[in-house]
Amino acid sequence: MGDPKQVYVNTNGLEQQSFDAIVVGSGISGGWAAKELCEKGLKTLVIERGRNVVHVKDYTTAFTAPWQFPHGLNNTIQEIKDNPVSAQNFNPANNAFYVRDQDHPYIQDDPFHWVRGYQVGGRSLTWGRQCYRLSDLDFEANAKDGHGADWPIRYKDIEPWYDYVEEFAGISGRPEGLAHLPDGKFLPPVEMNCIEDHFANQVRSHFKERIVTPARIANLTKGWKGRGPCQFRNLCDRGCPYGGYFSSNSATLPAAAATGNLSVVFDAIVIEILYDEKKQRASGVRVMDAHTKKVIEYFSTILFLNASTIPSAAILLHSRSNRFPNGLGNDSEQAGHNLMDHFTGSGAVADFSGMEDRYYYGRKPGNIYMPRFRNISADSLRSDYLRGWGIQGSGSRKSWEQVASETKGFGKEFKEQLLKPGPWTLWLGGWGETLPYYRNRISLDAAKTDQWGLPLVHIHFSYGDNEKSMRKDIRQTCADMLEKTGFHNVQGFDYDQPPGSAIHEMGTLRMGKDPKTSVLNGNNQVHAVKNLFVTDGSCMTSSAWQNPSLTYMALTARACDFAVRELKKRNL
Amino acid sequence: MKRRKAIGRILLTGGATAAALGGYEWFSLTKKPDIAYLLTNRDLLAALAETIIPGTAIPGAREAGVVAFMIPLLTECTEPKTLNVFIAGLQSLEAYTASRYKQGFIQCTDSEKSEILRYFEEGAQPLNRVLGRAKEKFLGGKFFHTLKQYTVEAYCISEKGATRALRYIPVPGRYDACIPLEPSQTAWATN
Repeated sequence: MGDPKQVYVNTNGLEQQSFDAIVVGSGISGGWAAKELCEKGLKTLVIERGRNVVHVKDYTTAFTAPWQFPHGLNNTIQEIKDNPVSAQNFNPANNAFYVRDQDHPYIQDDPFHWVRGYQVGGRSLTWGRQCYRLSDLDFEANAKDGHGADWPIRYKDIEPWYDYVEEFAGISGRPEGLAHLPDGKFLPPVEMNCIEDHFANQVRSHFKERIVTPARIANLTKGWKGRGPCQFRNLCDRGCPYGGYFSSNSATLPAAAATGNLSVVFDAIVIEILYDEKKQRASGVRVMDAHTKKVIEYFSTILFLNASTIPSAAILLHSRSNRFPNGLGNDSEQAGHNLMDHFTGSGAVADFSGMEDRYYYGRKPGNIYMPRFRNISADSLRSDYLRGWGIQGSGSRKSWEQVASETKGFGKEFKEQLLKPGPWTLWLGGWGETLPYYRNRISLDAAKTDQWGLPLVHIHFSYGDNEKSMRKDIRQTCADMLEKTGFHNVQGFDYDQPPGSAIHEMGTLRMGKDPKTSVLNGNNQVHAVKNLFVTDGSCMTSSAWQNPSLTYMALTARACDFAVRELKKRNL
Repeated sequence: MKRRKAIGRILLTGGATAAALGGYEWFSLTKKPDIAYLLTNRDLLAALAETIIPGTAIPGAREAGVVAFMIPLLTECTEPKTLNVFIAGLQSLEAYTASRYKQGFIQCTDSEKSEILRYFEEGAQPLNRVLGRAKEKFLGGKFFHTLKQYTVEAYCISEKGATRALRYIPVPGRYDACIPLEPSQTAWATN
């Protein structure tokens, strides 16, 4: 295994193989589990399948200037050929934080982009940082319209935990007093620029129930807990040497390490979770070194599975025993099913004439947000689909790329034009809720394996009519709004992006009240294996329409609190 | 309208395109691009780029060293079909220049260079949108478009382009959302 002393000094070393707690995965939810469990006094081992990424030191491109990349930010043709999925998301500045597709094959029964970041910190290094609370509109949705299982919790159960994680992470945003997008503990927002502000004012005067608010993002608008503030470079996905945004590497893992209770092993792939039939508890994990392929076992009193939605389900499905022949904790046979992702790629873009004497300074890391305004009241009910969507938007003056492609000719006049800020433009894109469909699932191949001998994952996924109808409405509605708010050259778009492209996959080990139809209970505890908790995206019972990471954080902190209380009561 | 659709449909399948073009032309677009020709014509590329973004009080494409970026962009980041069209475009530009001006492009005066490039820019306009898009997909990007796009990109990401033509601030430190634009202020180099 990699040398843990490189990052987190662990005086016990790893000769010790028994811990109070094991956390599988070091991404956004695993980092939180590590922090909470360590701070509550548990000797905790975090197991990460990828390489180590040391905060600041390993952000190797953070200060690379545009001219220092031989191909600019373009991927080479070879890179795209070798990484048909990852290369859709990475560029030469951040590709160190994405897996190489050829190293980590999976089987797309249907097109599904599974975008991964196997390293300490996981995808918390490259996430979009948008943080929105769910509300009872979301927690009650399944029960009300009959799709999927009922969430075992309601907003009041998670509300204090949203407060708790926001207070530590540092979320910038503006309170709006909406019931269906509850306000949080916000740092000052990143202000809207001239065109975004214009749009916001116009929307308020033209539309009932619609508002435009600064994106709520995990970027620090002031120094916070020894991190940040954000320097407005907008290079977050290279890793931030200022700790200007929340990641496991900058925030939760250092907090966990500060307790002296944390050990981390990296390059360590979990093969299966071990089950003790007598005690009816998980006893530990079997792990393979990614390089030497040496197998080793670690043991613990409680386990948190935070490997992310698809791997967490795959690990449980692969952990078979006499008691659980279909996978650990899978009495319901729901494990792997109900895979969801938000769908994106539809919206509209338009130009604006005027305010040519206005500009901005700095590059902001998040733009604007329009909370859901469909199916939230009697007036906004749709006959063509259930549930709803939110809009992320971005206004700017057109960049040189856009100016060049829209300006004919060449020579001195062209050059003058090219170097001026272009006209204002505004882009709006929908992020839509996907219903939980039992048919959308991951499963393990019976014969094909990866280089570590682990079965390849199959992904079977398709959208339904509800999502298709929503897409149409998103495109039309975004275009209409731009028309009505004084923009011109309005162009609706609907790109056929493969599912998975939002990188919001979730739902494969859902929470529920009934052990017959769900894998986890209301405390993220595996129904039949009380000392095993799953708090990554796989636990989601519905996708809601909001970016989900904040909810994973809150559910993780909540489950850790529950687990340690249960542990003290000797219930685990 | 119906006809446009029909043309679009024919061109949307590679096989039909190959048939419509004749086998030789199809082959010549999918062959291995003649990289050596590019590498031996760096001066020609520099002269073309300088015609697109000439030096003024602000450095032009040549001073910004755009060819150092354009070569890797062309050879490693460009689909072979587009690259073949580009190389064929360079050759046809040289042939056109030789027959009309009895010299190489590099030797031409600035106004001759502009005339030549204008000729190729006009030739680059698609016949109509459907046909243009379908053709671009199967025949590769147009020579002039590729030349202009890469010249601009190489110029704007180059150190001189980013710092002396555009404005580049590696660490802004703050965000001012809506401020006056100074009369002679140029655009930000990065977003």
